[in-house]
Amino acid sequence: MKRYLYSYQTIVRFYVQVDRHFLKLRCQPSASEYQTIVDESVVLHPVGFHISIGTDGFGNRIITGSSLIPHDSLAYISSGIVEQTDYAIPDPSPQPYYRCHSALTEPSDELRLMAKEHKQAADLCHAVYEAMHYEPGSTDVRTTAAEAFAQRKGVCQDFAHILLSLLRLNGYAARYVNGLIVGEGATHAWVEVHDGENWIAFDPTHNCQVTHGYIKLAHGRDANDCPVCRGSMSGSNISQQTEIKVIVNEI
Amino acid sequence: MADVSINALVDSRNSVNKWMERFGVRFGVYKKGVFREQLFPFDSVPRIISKKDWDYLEKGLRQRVQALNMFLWDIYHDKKIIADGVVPTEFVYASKGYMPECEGIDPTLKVYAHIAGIDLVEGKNGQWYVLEDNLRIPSGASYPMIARTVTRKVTPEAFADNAVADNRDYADMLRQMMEDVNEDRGIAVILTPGRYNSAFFEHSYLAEKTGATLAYPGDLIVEDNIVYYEGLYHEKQRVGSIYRRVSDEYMDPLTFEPESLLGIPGVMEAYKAGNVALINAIGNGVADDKGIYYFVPKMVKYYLNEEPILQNAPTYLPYYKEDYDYILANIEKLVIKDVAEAGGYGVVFGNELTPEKLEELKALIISEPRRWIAQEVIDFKDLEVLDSEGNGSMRKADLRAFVVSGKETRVWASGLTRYASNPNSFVVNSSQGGGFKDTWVMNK
Repeated sequence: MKRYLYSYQTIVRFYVQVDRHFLKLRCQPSASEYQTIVDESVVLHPVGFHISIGTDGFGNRIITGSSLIPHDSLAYISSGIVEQTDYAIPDPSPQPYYRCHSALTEPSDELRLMAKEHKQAADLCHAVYEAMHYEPGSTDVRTTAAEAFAQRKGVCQDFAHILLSLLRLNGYAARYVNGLIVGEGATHAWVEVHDGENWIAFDPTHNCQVTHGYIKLAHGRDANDCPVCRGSMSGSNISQQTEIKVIVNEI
Repeated sequence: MADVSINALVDSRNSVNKWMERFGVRFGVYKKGVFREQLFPFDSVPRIISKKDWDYLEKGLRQRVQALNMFLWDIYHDKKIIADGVVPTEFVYASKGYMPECEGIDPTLKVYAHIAGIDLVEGKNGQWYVLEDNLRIPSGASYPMIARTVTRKVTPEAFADNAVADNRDYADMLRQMMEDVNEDRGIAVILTPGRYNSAFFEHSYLAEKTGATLAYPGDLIVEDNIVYYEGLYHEKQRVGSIYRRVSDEYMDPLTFEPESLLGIPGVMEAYKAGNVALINAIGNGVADDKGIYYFVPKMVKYYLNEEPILQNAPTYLPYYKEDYDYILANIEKLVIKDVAEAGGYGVVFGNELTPEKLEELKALIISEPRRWIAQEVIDFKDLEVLDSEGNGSMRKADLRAFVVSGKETRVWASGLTRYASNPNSFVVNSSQGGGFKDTWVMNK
């Protein structure tokens, strides 16, 4: 049993005032057999936001907010303490759609070829790590597994999408996970694969099976399903600057 | 039909079209990135459906739509039909219309397809076949509505002489259904993407006829999981039901396409909380996929324990070995349809292809069997269509029947009869040219 203190902070500054702002946050840790929430809080600025809490179709905790009051910044901090055991989340019947390709994991011919070389999740994870070069800025949020693999470079999101594509080609139920880890300045992405009884986790960016120390926030078929924050705003000439800080420490 | 009235109808063809032009009966088309509006040519001689045929169709349509609504509920809840092996897993989950975001959502009254547009054709042998179920945003009801209104004005004698079922109740049916699922939560609105949508005429016309408020993107806002209509002076009215003419992926930028400006940010949460009805429900595409079509008669048996009244066109799925072999051996006499396409696109007739193109198509089917279905070419009963000089020619035609489900499922005694743009074409979709006729359902 290990305990971690975490904090996820985002500040968005708008150069011109935003008139209306709607947002959906998945910034709180998920609760499962792997991870228990000991204490938590979420603070949101501006204070006038109308807030509702709920869960999305994938079972993630969400906060939706709306503000009709003009503002020039948005800020929130999600922080707390979680307790973790070994990474295994029991699920007797995983949703069948985790076996199907989704928009960002649609395979290319070369991914199909690669999927034939290995069968085990750990081997596939290793193969992605070996084939790919980590290069910030080489891809964006819309880059697909096939595109990132074609150029052999990307960031953690792309590594995760490629591994998902390979796992699904081998018949596994597999899902994308968004979360926080020690020593990373932003959110991190990894993969959960169903081993017949449990969801276990692999991190292709660091070439390892995940045991603990990864604060899980949300999961989905791919990154599109579970972003930490998605907003929709209206105003004229919206441009923005975003600053994110993540702290995770074992206590 | 009495001779006098048929002559009157024939003579009325130009004046009726002029009237409709004045009413603004048109639809928009995008061609090569340019938007333009087209008139939808109207042929003044109606298609006639006998009372006997209609009784059969009405019963069959009601049964079919009930089964489809039960299927949608099942897919987003218990998935019994998959567990029982009636529909294969991949046909559901690999379908682009399946939305996992809708898992567990309970639409009011368990209705998903509030408005279903079922496309039928009549064979030369008098047998009707369902060609397609449209359960997302079936359009076209406004055309026969307005055509009837105009023809009644121009040739009242045609309606005095013939026992034609009155079809002026469509707006009432819609309104009743909108109230059924509203459950007194607020006002009813019709959400249009706006002026440049191909069916904008229909959106505004239906709003006028039903008395629902026509809302544009930006008029609807969500606060604390409740949807409000914001008026000109920022006064807010709670909304209970939204007949939305915006497709699923643009409905909520916080859930689906993030760049969408047509939707309502946060509406999915309001919908999930049971605070608003969406007409039609989100995620219906999983049931009107061309691949799922094959299974609809099986759904009728499975959910209702009844024999299906309506027939599908004879269809083959390359997914099944036996069908796969049949398709590859008989491809030159079949119609091949791309499951992912709609609106008359992605439809290929084997007999129109050169031997090289046939081989290419075979290769596509072999590499992606789930993407295609094949059907026998149906020998349609052609309808006569008159040009502006009154010269007739025979055309392929279909019938889109509208089925409205609220507390009960009702079939509109009318429909949209569309005909092909030229005598050699089999494609009757309005975005591919062609025109329409009024559809007379006879009372006796």
